[in-house]
Amino acid sequence: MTRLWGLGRRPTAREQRDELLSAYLDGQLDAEVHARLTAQLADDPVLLSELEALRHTVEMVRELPPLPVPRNFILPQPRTARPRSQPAPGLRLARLAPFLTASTVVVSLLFAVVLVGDLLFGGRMGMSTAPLNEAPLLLEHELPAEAPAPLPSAGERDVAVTAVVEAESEAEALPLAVPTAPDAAQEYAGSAPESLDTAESENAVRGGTITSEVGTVTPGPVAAGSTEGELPAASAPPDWATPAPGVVTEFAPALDEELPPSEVMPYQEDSELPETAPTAPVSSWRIGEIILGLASLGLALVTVWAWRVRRH
Amino acid sequence: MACEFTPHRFCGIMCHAMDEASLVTAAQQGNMDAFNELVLTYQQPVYNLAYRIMGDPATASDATQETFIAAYESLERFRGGSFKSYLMRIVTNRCYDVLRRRKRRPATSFEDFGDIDEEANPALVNGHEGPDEYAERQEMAGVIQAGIQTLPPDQRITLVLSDVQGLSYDEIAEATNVALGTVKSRLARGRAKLRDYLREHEELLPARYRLEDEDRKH
Repeated sequence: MTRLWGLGRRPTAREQRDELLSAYLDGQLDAEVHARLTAQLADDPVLLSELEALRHTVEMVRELPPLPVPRNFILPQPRTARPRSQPAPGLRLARLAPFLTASTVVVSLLFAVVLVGDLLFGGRMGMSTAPLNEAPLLLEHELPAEAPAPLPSAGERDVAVTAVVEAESEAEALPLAVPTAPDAAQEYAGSAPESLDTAESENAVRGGTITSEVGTVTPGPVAAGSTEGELPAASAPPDWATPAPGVVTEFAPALDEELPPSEVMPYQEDSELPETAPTAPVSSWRIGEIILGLASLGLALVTVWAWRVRRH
Repeated sequence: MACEFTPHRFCGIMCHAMDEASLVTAAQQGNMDAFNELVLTYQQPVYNLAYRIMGDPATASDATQETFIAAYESLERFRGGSFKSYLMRIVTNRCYDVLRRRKRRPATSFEDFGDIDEEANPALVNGHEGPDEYAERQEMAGVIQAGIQTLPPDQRITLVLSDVQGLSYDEIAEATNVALGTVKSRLARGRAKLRDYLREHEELLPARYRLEDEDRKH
């Protein structure tokens, strides 16, 4: 007979006998073994008794009444209404776990490449962020040769502002001594800017104009500089030098005496910085790093979740 | 294939009367009614198997319901053959899992504290027998069920599949995923142990079911 017993332990003689009898009852022995056992049963009443006891046991088990089900086990409609071709989103995602893993690896490698590229080449390619305080230096270097270079010191600026304020207070204190505005306009229009030498008179006129604004908006040269680039002297409109009625222009020369053009011009450039200096661009390396970093993180989380769903 | 309309058995909806293969195919395509027809056909053998293995109605009900849910969810992987064997394999594995969990964390069922009464187990009621016969059969069934519960899980499942469910050796080997020789040895050991158990507890058996009386006849 074929050896049927479990691994690592030899069956006892009793177990071998029971296996023979069980197979005999089920008709699972081949003809030769069956005939030999039948002959042995005829001669061995003990063996026959064991066979009958086994047969009776099997019959009793087979006589066990079938149990009616306590309830129906039909599945509810919502569960079964789901089309078979459309598995749950979680299961669909779980099937994509290998693809997600590969995607995560690829995106992470890209992230590493961009990070290294930024560290190695980001500065050289001019794509890194320039410090904001470098912009005034560049502007200074670009100033025309004839333009006075040095910026006024803080003390000088204070002097200029003080002069404007004093001029304003004088204007208020001596209203009767002030010539009419058209006269002043003509006076200064006669020396309208036509050459580099006219810069002084230009500043004088504009200083006078701005002086009128000082009392209402901001002091002197800082506000005057805001129109420097937009209205060059040569292209100024004909009525540019004509002050508005009531504008105090008499004190402009006094202002110019205290604030020569050589000191005003650089200050005007400085005052333009907030408007004309380009905003420092965010490096494309940095943008790439941020996007790829977030993508790597998101993909990693989704991949972990997909593998967990897949295993369950 | 028969294709006549018949009233649906449980909800009154008209549906096609189909054979098992057609029902399986329809269920695989998402037809709920077809799958529930299969449930109604096989829920009793599935529940009986679960009950004989687990030994209590509540666990058997849970295992049965989980079996049909698992069968539905994995229906795409069913490639033909006996649908009953497919269900038996699933419920067997479910019961294995529960028994393994019980082995790690033993728990006592409420029904272990008392006898199974008719209300709790109406299956034991048979309208065609008298009170004495019913009482004897109930005693016999209780003793045998208790004896089955003493068997190791492997032998218990094999014995129930063979002698309660009537599966062939080949079907048992397929359902339990073991070799044919292993099925034979497990079944022989299980039967022998149950025989020994009934001998030891023969006073619990009705006189006509006692093994010694049976032996004496020979």
